[in-house]
This record gives sequence, C-alpha cells and structure tokens, in this order.
Amino acid sequence: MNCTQCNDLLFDYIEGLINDQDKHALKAHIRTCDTCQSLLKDLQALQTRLTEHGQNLAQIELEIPVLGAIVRRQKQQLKAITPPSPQLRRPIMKSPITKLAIAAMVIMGCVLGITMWSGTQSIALADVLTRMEQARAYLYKMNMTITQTGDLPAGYPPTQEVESTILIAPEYGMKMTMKMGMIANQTMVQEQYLQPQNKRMLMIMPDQKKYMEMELTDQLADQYKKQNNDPRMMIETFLNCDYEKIGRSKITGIQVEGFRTTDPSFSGALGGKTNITLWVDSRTRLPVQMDMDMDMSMGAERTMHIKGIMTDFQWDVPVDTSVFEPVIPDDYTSLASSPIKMPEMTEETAIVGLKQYLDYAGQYPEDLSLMRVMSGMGKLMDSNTPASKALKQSIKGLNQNDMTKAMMDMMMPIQATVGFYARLAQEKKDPAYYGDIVTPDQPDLILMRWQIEDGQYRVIFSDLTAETVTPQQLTELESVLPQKESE
Amino acid sequence: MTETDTFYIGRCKNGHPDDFRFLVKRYQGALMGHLMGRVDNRDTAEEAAQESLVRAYFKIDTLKKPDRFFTWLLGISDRVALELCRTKRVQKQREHIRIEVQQAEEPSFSQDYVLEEAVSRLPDNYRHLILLRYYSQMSCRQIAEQLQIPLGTVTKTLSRAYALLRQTLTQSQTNESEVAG
Repeated sequence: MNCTQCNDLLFDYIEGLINDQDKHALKAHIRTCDTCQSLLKDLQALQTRLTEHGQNLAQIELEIPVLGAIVRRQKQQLKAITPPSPQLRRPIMKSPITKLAIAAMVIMGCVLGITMWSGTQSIALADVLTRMEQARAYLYKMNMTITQTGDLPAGYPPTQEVESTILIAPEYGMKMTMKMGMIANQTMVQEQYLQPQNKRMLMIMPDQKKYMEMELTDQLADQYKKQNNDPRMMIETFLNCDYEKIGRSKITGIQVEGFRTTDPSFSGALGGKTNITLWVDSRTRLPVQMDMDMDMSMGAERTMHIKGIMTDFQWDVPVDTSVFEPVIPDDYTSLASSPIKMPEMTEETAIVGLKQYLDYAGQYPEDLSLMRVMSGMGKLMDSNTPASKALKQSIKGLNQNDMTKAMMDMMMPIQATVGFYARLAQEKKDPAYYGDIVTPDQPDLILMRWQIEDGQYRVIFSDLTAETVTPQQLTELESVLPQKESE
Repeated sequence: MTETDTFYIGRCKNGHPDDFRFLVKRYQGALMGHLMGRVDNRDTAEEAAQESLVRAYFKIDTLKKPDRFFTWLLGISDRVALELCRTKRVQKQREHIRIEVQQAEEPSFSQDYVLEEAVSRLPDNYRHLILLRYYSQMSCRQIAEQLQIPLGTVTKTLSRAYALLRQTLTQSQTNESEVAG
C-alpha cells in the first residue's frame, strides 16, 4: 500500500468501515510511514473532538419545550379567531336549595379525581396529542394524606388517608377506585366510572349498597373524552404553568428528569399553596411519579394540607372493556331519584350558582376555592333566609331519594361556579373574585372578573349582570371597591 | 425512531402531529451544532433551536420535498438565529469572547469556539453530514439511508470535510501562535 491508497482509506478506518484485508495492509503501511501515522493521529483527535462536542450538545432535550411552545402558540392562534361571547343580561332563575354531607363527599371525590389529572381544557396540540394512534389503557395509583388543623367539627378525623387506583382507556372512559379512611377508623370505598360516550358518570359505594348517576352535558362529555385520551396531559398542564427543571434522578432504577411548579393554577379548584414535582422517564418521556404538596385554607380558622403521590404508572395495560360498564346489583339503591345533571362550567352557570348561594346564605361566598365553598355549605341549611326556610319546608315530606336529588340539583350550579373559576385560573385568564368585600346591596360594584379576547374583561356585577369592559374601565371599577377591614 | 423523515412528516400531516416529536429528537443535536456557530452562546442556541422547531411545525405543510426536511430546518434556523442576533446585538460580544477564549490556556470544553467556527465555515454539503454524524449521532450507514445516497459518498464527503476542518483548525492555530509570538 502506498500513501495515496492509505489516505483514501484512513477515514473509513477510523469509522470502522473497512474490511479486514484493507485493515491489515493499512496498519502495515502506517508502521513504516511517519507521515501517514501522524495524519491518522490528527484525524483521530479531530474525530474525538467532534464526537465529544456533539455529545455534549446532544444532551439537550428539546422535545418537551418544543411541544409545549407549539401548544401555547396554537392556543393563541385559536383565541384570535374565536368570536367574543355575546352580552349577557338575563333574569336569574330561582331554584330550591340545601346541603348534604354525602353529596359534598361525592362532589369532592369528583373534583379531586378529575381535576388532579385533567388539567387545562386546552385544544391545540393537546387536541393533537389526544389523537394517538393506538387506543391504550393505563393505570396508576394515587395516595393522599389529608391533614386538617384548626376548628374541626366534633368527631372529625384530623388525618385522612385516601388510596385510589385509576384506570383510563381512551375508548371507554375511566374507572377510579377510592378507599377513604373515615371517622372512627371506618373506611369508605367508592368506585367512580366516567363514560364520556354514554355521557354519564357513575358513583358506587359497595359497602353502603348505594349508587348515584350523573348526566354529563355534551360539552363536558367531549371534554372528558379529550382529557382521557392522553397520558401526557399532565405534562401539558405543567407546561401551561411556570415551572422549572430540577435535573435528573433515579426512581426504582429508572432514569428520570424532574420538573417542579409552585404555580397555584396547576391544582385548579383546590387552590392554595402548591408544590408539585413531576418525574418523567428520560427515555420514554412518560410520567413515572408525581409528588404533590398543597396547603389550602378552609375558612379563617381551618386549613387543609394534602400530601399526595401518583405512582406505579403502567402503560398499555390490557383491559376487558366490561370493566368500564359496571353492573349494579339489584339490591343497591340510588342515592337520588333520577340522574343528577352535571352543569356546564360557563358564565351563565356561574351566575346561577352565585345567585343560588346568595338566596340560601344571604350573602356571596367569601371566596371561590372548593374547600371554602364546600365547608360553607352547612351554613346554607342553617340560615334563616326565605329560600332556606322554603327549601326545608319543601323537602319535609319527601322521601330520602327525592330529597337527595333536590339537594344535589341545588348544589350543582354552586359547584359549577367553583369549577368555572378554577378553570379560569388554570387557563391564566386573570380571574378575580370580590365576594369577601362586596355585598348584594351594592349592585354597581364588581363581584367577579376575568380576561377574554383582545385584552378585554368580562365582569359580573353584584346584581349578577355581566358585561364586557376594557382594562381601563376595569381599573376604574376596581378602584371604587371598599377596602378590606383588615387593611 | 427508525422511520424516514418523509414517513414522520406524512404522519404529521395526516392526523398524527404528535409524531413531530420524533423529528425533534432526531435533529435537536444537529440543529444545536449548526446554531452554535451562529450565535453567541449555548443558551441562545437552545432558544433558537426551540423556536426553529416550532416554526417548522407550523410551516410543515409548505415543505414540498419532505426528504429535504433537515436542510429546510437549517434554513429556518438561520433566519431565527439572525433575528435573535439582531435583537441581542451579540456579534461584537461573540468576537470579544472568542478572543478571550483563544487566549485562555485550555479551550472551554462545552463551548469549543474554534471548532464551532471551523464547522460553520464548511460548505453546506460537508457541514450537513458532519452535523448528522456527530451532533445527531447517526452512523454513516444511517445517513446514507436517510439521504438516499451511497455509503461511499457519505464517507468520501466526510473524509473531505475532515481535510477542510483540519486546514481551518491548523490555520487558526498558526494565527494564534503569531498573536502569541
């Protein structure tokens, strides 16, 4: 072999692409030729330099930030083409009222169960992400410890353990089994089924032999269908919040990357102080674990601390579809006489919910966090408002089921108000609520507001009419609000 | 991640836009390698890479030849880098840093300015192969399959790219010692 032939083969040699015969010849030549030997060393040094520099840069992970940015941009584009909502000034309907512990429990279950993994109702790439080719089912566990401090009702356990297993199949819906530690060491088991295609949600309590059925509106069913579809939705929710990367770690031998957010809008309806860490498998980009730490106020003297962990994720779990179609045994009775209608979380429902609360409690809720409103439900029944008296009167003769139904119907719009507000927060629509300083006898004061298209704001006044205003008008409206007593 | 670009782009256009993630994974390294020679630092390169990929996603329908995705992406990233540099007025800063780094005893490893500069000066056809081989960690065979050219062409082009790189690197070394001397 001569130098020219050697030169021609050197690159293939360092890339390991030449045959044995050429390799022997080349090595033999190099042993005797200083020039080619030094050239080989040069090429190898350059190869190392390129490889190391390339690997160093390739450590970067752009997948999540890029997909996140695409989602945000698509959302902006969609917003730009959505027509503004029509002006709303309509009489508010009246309806009966009440409260019920079991109903509150059920609703809390729904909100905890659904809000935790659903996240924002974004369209766009989320929409896109949902159209994953294979219908797959996945499973995870969620364990929560709920600790309450302060002014608790007698016999109320300060600490509750909730263990849930959640199974989700895009085509069929969701099944969640919840085991809750209750008063006096009793446990309560609750199964929840979400069947978007049947537009219903079903709650079964096997120990009590009770069940409850709820009807979903088309909009809610669609929304749940979309949310169910994609395991990466939690990541999408994260991307909508302010989050930080916290680096790599290992969980049960899996290389993971961590993301943390303290953005309260992540937990939506739950509100309060939030600290969420999501661990994602570096290789598959699927979630491995989520740690949750939340503090929320339930009134002036009471706080709730939720510490939770979502773990044991299993992907592509084979499931029998009958799992999602429970057969209710004959000896089970329904908690309500007919299916409860789940209201849509819209401005109109929010107004109905606020009106409802006002009628029964004689005032607006002090704030719109789930826990505060739920813990305030008791007051609704005890108050002496005409509505409350009328309700107590009207349910007197009813059987238990009709009574439950009446109470649930009353509570649903109030729950929807909370849900609506939480969604505005999750979608970063700059919502604010002034129920703590505004009373119904000040009709021109602003009670609630949020941002809509083009930087305009939607405002609900204390007389429960709604209007669209400019940011300047909003500033004026907010400047005349009374100061809080404590300030 | 073994399918061709054309396959994934077809999927993106036909109701599976989620598959764009495979293209992100395939080219993020090469894109970073390309941008490092055009902007002032790694953070800016990352910013530009992200923006380029996002723009590519929204413009994917306008890409007439899906097998030219990589070249097309680099074109987008050049414009993004230019915009970023204009706003950040970094060119001067870059000169400044480069001189400082060249004068330092050991070159900063994560930011090998001299190598980046040399790579960025390569003619396009050579540079693209270097980026794919060392920054996207594709083997010569994979490159040949992806670009649908003979393996021999890939190795010959890379070999020639090495020669050009060595030339530039030796030149800059000489300049350096002249400055030092």
